Amino acid sequence: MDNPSEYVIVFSSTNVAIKAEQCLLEHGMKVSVMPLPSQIKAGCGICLRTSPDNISAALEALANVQISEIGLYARKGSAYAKTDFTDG
Amino acid sequence: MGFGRICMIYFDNSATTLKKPSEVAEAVRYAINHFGNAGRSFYDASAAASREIYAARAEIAKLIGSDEPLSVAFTSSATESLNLVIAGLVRESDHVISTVLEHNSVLRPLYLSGCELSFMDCDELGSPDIGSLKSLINAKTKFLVCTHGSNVTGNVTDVRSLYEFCMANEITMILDIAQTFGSIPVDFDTADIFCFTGHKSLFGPQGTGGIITTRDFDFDIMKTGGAGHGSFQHFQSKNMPDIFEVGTLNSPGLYGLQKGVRYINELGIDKILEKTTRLMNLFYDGIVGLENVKIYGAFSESIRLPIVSLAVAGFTSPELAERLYKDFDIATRAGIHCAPLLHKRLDTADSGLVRFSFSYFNTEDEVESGISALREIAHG
Repeated sequence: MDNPSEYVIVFSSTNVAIKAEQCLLEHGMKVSVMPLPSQIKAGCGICLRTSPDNISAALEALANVQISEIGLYARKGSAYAKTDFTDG
Repeated sequence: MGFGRICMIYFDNSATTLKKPSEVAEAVRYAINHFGNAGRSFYDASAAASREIYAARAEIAKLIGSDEPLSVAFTSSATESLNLVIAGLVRESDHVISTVLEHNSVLRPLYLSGCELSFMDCDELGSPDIGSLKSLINAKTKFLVCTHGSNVTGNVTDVRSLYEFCMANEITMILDIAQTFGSIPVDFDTADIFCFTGHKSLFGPQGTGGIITTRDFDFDIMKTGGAGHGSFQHFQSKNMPDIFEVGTLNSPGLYGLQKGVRYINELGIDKILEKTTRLMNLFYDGIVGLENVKIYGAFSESIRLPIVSLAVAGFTSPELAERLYKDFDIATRAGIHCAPLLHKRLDTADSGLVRFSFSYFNTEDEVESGISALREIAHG
């Protein structure tokens, strides 16, 4: 089965999304703001894109600043699948 | 453009600070030319506005000692903040305690709420009678709404004692920090909700202000509309800061405010307080005891706002303020200062007072000019 090409993190509001972006940038992670893909029906109008290499550390960093109400989507091709990340 | 004289000695900083750090105006100008709509899109111009507004929240949170930037919601003014908080929480069936020191931005939303009101009195110097608080509460008391510092006398209220009392009696404390935030230390653990303005001692542009919450509150939704998320939901999010922020935010103003607050954070509030207190004391010492001059306020307290309000015999406050401006190029504030109960209490409701309020950007030479002017006027 193919691995995800990237992960998309979805937030409850644009304010939380920007807080998350700032948090991840402060941790030196590569992350970018993108419009919410139309296939994803939950969350605010912007979301964060990051690579599979980053995702574990990114989720830990977000949890440390009490950003827990998020949705995580794995991109495979043009599809986005909701996922609960586990690094095993 | 004809704006009249602007090269004056400006002693009306409690109304708004006129001289601000240069980076404030530069930021406003930059934002007007470069910022898109904050919180609406992913492209650089929109994201830049979102990031700088978040940075403004972070600077304000840092100044008050909060570690959560999203506990800061932006409004247009302290007045709007107090309206939203009071209308969003206070019920007609509630009993609310306030003080006679309050500005109409506190009083009128409380009157409008229809709640039962009790007012803490003050002494002849304008200091609130904190000891009377216990006698004012009843079974329906839900809120204490009060100012941290009087915009008339400059007296600072012991809010830590008030908050300890509120916590012990399950009363929610809403603090008006319009005059104090940026002037003196304001601590996150001295109230439940803080309402601030951006354009006074935070050095931000006019049209900026906000609300800081210390925990979750069940605010009624007072404004609703586009927010950049939840488009299919019928109602506005009740989370901070979304509940108070609808429509396009004032990103040029808030970027300017961010620069103003950053200036304070980098300089240190103690340094600001030390200078403004020195200027105020210089002025006070130069006029105290002058024949025909009566000064109001408690000047022996360890901390106070840089305000000296006074009356000169033979002048109403508008007459005195006009004389100061026309003959000495000195701008002050005359009248009742939107604080009707305090002026009644001080017996100054008929003629009002003239308020001299100082800022970090005033100079000793300006203060000496103010002293000379007042001596000349008072001696006729």
